Amino acid sequence: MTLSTPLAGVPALDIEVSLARAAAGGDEGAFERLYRRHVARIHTLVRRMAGDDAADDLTQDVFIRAWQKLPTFRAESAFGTWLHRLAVNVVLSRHRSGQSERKWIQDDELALGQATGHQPHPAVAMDLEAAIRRLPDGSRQVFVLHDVEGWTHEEIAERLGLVVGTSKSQLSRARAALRRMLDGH
Amino acid sequence: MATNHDDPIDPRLAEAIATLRDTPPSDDLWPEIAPRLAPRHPAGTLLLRWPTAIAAGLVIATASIGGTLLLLRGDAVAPAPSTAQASLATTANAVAAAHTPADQALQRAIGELEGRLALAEGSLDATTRDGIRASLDALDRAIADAAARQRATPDDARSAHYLTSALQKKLEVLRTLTRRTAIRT
Repeated sequence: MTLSTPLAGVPALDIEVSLARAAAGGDEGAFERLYRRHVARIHTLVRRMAGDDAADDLTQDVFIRAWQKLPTFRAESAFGTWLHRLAVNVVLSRHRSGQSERKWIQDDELALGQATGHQPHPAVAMDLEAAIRRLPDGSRQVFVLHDVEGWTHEEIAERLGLVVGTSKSQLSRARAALRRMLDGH
Repeated sequence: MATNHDDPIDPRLAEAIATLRDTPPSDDLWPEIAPRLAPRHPAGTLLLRWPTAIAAGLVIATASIGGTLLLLRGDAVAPAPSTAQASLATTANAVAAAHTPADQALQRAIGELEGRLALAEGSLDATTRDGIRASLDALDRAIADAAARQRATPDDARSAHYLTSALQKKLEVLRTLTRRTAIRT
């Protein structure tokens, strides 16, 4: 297979393109090196978006899907960026298949109330990772993608099948809930 | 709850986000991932794992048998010339190794039905005869693949299972074919 290399010249990216090229040709050793370089990043992303329980399984699915799709990686973006997008797709396809936007928002509003309404004790400091885990699926995904991963509302809306306004309102709710949780009330 | 969609992020929340760090999974996931990577040929296309390949072979064989049975169900078909005495491929040729008593019993039953089918073959037209041969050849290829896999991994229960399944499928097909050819003749 042929990979164009518009990222040539950046040593770390050159290495990744070479590894990706080798893995696309069937070199499992090269793919394992890519896995070692990216597993923490992907596992963290998946854990934040889907929760602790599903994180290991989904991370495995991401790398298996990456192996299957590597021949389509054209090196027009960094391998890490490509893998990150793939991971988001895997998480979203698992978590939101067949769910309408209205139901998604209704479920989220209900869960948000529960997440912020049952604080164990005001004096117990809750770190942000723990607070993110307490957010309902929809708000958590929008918050992670926008505020942690740097996606735009337009990108989020397109990928999640929402209107932009819904993405913005979900983010606003998530931030408010996180502030309350971090403040301990 | 905040409703302004374009609210700037709370500085304390932004500060907390900046402290987030990627963390790897608690267990190495590679040992779970590696066996699930389908091998690739040099052009980058995935190859089927052997259970899938054998199952696919059986599906193809079964599908082709369907067409043959339709031919056998036809109304008036001219008998084949007397030269049509070529023997059908035998499972015994494909399966050289000794197997379980159950597999050996299947092989004996298959051999008997192949003999009966060969006797009836002369009364079939060339198209039907060719269809039967092609279907049985496909089954024999699946059986040969399963037998080779079992020889290579004699302790693998799945290998034994696939071989037995393939033999059972051929026996089932032969029973149907001999029943149909008996009706026709």
